[in-house]
Amino acid sequence: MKRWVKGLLATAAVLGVGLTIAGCSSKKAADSSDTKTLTMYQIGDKPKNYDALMAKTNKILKKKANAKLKINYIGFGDYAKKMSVIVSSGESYDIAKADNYVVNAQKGAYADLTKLLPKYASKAYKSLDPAYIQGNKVNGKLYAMPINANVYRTQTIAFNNSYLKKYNIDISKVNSYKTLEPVLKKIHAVEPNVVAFKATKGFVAESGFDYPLTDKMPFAVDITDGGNANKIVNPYDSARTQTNLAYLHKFYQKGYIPQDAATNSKEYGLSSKTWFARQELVGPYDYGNQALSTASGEKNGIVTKKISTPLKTTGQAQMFNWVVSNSSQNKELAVKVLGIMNSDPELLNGLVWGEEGDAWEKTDQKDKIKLLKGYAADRSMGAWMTGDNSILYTTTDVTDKMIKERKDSIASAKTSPILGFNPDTSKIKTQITNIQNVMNQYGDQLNTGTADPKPTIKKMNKALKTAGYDEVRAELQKQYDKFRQSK
Amino acid sequence: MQGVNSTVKAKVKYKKRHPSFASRFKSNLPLLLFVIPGAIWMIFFFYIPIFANVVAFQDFHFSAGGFLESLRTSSWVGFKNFEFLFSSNAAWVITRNTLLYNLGFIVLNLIISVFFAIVMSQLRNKRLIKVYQTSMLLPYFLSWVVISYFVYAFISPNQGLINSLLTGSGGKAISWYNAPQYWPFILLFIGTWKSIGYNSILYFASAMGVDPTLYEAAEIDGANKWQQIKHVTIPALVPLMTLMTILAIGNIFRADFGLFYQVPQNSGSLYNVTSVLDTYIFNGLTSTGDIGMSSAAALYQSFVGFVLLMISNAVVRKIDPDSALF
Amino acid sequence: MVEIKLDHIYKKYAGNDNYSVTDFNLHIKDHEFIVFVGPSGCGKSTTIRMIAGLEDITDGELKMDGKVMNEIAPKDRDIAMVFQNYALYPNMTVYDNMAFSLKIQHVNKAEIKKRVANAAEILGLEAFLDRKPAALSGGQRQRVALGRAIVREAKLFLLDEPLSNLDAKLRVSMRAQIAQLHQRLKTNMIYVTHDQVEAMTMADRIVLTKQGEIQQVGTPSQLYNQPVNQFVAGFMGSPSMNFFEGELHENRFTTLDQQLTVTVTDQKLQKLRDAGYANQKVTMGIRAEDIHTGPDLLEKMADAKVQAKVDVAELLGVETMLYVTNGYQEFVAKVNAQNTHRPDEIITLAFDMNRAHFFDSQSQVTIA
Repeated sequence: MKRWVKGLLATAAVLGVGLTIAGCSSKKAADSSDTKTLTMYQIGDKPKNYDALMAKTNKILKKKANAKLKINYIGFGDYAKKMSVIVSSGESYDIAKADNYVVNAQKGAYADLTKLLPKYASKAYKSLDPAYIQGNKVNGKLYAMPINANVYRTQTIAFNNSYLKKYNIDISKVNSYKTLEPVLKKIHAVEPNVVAFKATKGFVAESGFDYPLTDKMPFAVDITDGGNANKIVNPYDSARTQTNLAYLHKFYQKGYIPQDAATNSKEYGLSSKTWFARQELVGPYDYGNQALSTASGEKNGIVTKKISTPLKTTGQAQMFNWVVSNSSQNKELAVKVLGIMNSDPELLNGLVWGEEGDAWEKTDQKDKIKLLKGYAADRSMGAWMTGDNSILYTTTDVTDKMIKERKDSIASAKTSPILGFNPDTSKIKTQITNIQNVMNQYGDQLNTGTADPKPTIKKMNKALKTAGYDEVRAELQKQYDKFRQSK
Repeated sequence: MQGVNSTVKAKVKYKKRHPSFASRFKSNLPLLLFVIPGAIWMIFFFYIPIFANVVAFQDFHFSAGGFLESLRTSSWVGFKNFEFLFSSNAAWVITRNTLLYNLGFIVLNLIISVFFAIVMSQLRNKRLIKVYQTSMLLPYFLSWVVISYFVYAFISPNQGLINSLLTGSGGKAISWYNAPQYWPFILLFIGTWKSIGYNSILYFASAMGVDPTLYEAAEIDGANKWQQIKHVTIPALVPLMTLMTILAIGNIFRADFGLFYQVPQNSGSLYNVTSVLDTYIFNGLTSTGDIGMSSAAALYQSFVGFVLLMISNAVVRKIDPDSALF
Repeated sequence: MVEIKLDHIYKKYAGNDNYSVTDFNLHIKDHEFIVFVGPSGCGKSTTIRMIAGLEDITDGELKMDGKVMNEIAPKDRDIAMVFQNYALYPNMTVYDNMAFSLKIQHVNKAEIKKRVANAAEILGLEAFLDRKPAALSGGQRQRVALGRAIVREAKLFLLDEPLSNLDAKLRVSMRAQIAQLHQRLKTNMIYVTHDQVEAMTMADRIVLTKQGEIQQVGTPSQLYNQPVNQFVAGFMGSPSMNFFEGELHENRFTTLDQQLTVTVTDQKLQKLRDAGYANQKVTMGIRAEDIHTGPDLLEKMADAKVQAKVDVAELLGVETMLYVTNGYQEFVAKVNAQNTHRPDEIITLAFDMNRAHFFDSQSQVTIA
């Protein structure tokens, strides 16, 4: 017995020493110079000219906040896994792109920014659409500095314009899966080897719902006009969903959707000619078809048709959140730096467009720029994942009229009834885990049209029931009722 | 009676008078030095982390003080984290799949790798043996992701080799990733194919250690090739076979994640035959990212594995003490 | 029981330029105990393995009872073999080890039991039938190996260095047991050993080989007393025969350093002269036991007296080994232990010239 205690003490001692060493080293690093260097974790690949981009950024940061920023990049595929290790090991980073924002916020991984943001980043905070603040509140507190960008989204069907022109296909009547069918039929007849409708693993049919958890989980609120927005329901029970899925199943059977859609995660790049139609979310900063066409590499390469109304959702609000670590030693400073990144046009445009003079140059018009040869995706940072899009310069392709439209559309877009409803799932995580598995089994089959919806939904609902669907729905409804009352 | 007792005592006393710790330490110093790196590694990466298993019984919350502080401050929830493993219909399916597939692998691996080991041990051409070994070992070093693309090349519904052959010969293409009836065979085949080279080399090494005069003796005794294998080679392999089987039984609750996740491309319509504990845990917990539940699942697998290993070892010890692990 | 004829047998291993066995001719008669003896690498094991069928015969014919056996599988040659390392099946009990060959031939159970019991009785293994080989001592394992051969009731027993893994004492007793076994079973036995004592004590006939070639075939006494060449003379007997390089002058043999001169007996001298070795270089060989120090013998062999200095005297009981030096020549004498001699003492020894051997210095062939 004694020996066992001794062993435990020895182990504890070893661990203690290790921790002290770790603690010392991090403190030393922070104290070593007057200008503090903040550590940031970002998703994606490091830009090739990272050093040049950061040199300019750090110059501004040093002047304005006496701080420097060091960005560590983690690839898209690894980010969730590595970040969860970094978070749970208590590594003291300062800023990161949020991963699994609501759950980690509930678990205390992030610093509470409710008071810090208005105080240390007031300019950026004020520039945010209110939907961002509302949508990121967890238990009434704000844990993120969201990036002001596509605050609403419209579900659209995007068409490869080259095929439309080539075969003179009319898409003016498309506004649903039903009206899409004749168009797909036409293209499949002439181009059987082109994927008529791109649906791959992870595709979710648009049926007029918003989801308090994720769109992969069968808990939703009806957001159509005249729908009951007070009740959390299973979207697969609705006639609307079932009709849409039946159309998708038809697409699949006719060969419009690839045979391995449910397991395939192929990209079918926007710039390629391998596809004819696909589902794309479009937001205000996409300036209509502009962003998609740019990605396709052709002017007017892609045209879109709306199949839903614009909606400000929690998902959009949480599209890209910067968070400050709860274990950071420099929380205020981190908030200050985030504030500068989201309000200083010189800094932000220098990152998003790349190096001035090499990638772009200013024009006579205010806030309008011309892209130069040096502009490249891997020599700049993505706008959606860096800072406030409303202070970005625009290219001369974007007219003042388009900017006005953008502003008007944001103002007029509807807000989802569940915006800001971030439920606490800690009491029902067992059931949620099981439901997640059920949905992994059926979700892709149904949404890609691989499976016949009626019998499959029946089977799925049976499995959901034993996985604890009713308890989760009741718990979510309870929290949702509370949420609505507090609004 | 007393006399006997006193002699026993004397013997014990004599036995106890072994060299002092210091002198034994000194004489074994070089060996101990060899052990140190491995021992340190084991202590830090195996023994100390064992204590972190408490997280399986906690509702884990982060604290600003780091992981240990988080462990200290998180609240206890008993066995709640384990519930998800048993609370749904899937529990039966995943347990059945995990056990049956692993049993299948244990049996197939044993039979086939012993078979190949014996075939190789009977070959005379050394160069040919090297060629066989290398080509059999190659899959062992491939990652499951790579193998999943190989498999895809064969059974992709549109461009797959097998479907091309089927349609080419007038048959109907099969949507493999939606056809659960084929997958038990595909998975067993691929899993065995990947590990067979490694295992058969172990058995081959063991078979090569058999005294060649035993075969000559058997030949003179009138045993044909098959009888020689049965009475000389296989008995020589039995201890290794037992050892490998005991170890495999210890891992029977741990499925090869890559095989069951990558190769069927996590296809939902195959879940009834491809869902195993590891994929279920992964699919269920990647979204919630709950450390407590992940640890609970891993602890459950380890614990069941430990119990099975002890049982199988006890059984083996009873039948043939020489083959037992301990 | 069987008559075996080895007819111009050759063996050449792949990748080896030289023959391991060259022109091996031997006729083994019924119920004979043949010992193949020779230094290691002389091809004796290869030969026995060819007889067993474990090695292919490169050239020549092996006949048993007149039938050519070259292509016959080992199991059909009606032989039993005992290996140097016993080659017992480690997973089987003593009983199963002995019964294995019978089981494979589907001999009925009662018969197997009878034969194993019989063999176990002969070898004194009754108490160990349920044990596994690992639980036996070396001697017991050797007996199991013999037992395994006995139960087969084969016509020919092949024993490949069966005793060389045993300690000296055990070897002596096993030697006797095997000899008895031969008497009792009345089978042919071919026994391979590198130990000339085993060959001398056990063989009906010895086949002495060197580098794959037969040197001499004959009874132990033939090989001992009438070696055909210097190699045979030197190999048989312990200590080894003493050899002296020298010249023949008139009726005397004188060593090259002129230090030792003995008179050759008339009979031998005649043979030497007939063969044309008068005044020629020859090698004289004489065994240690044919050198004497007893006063009576010194007198009797007055014309073959030699002075030498004692280097070492080894008392063996009845006899003493004297390692002595004469000039540059060292030789050994085995003398009566009653005549004590001390190191550095100069003594007189007498050679029993009747028992001296003479060999050609070049070809080493026996002349007289």
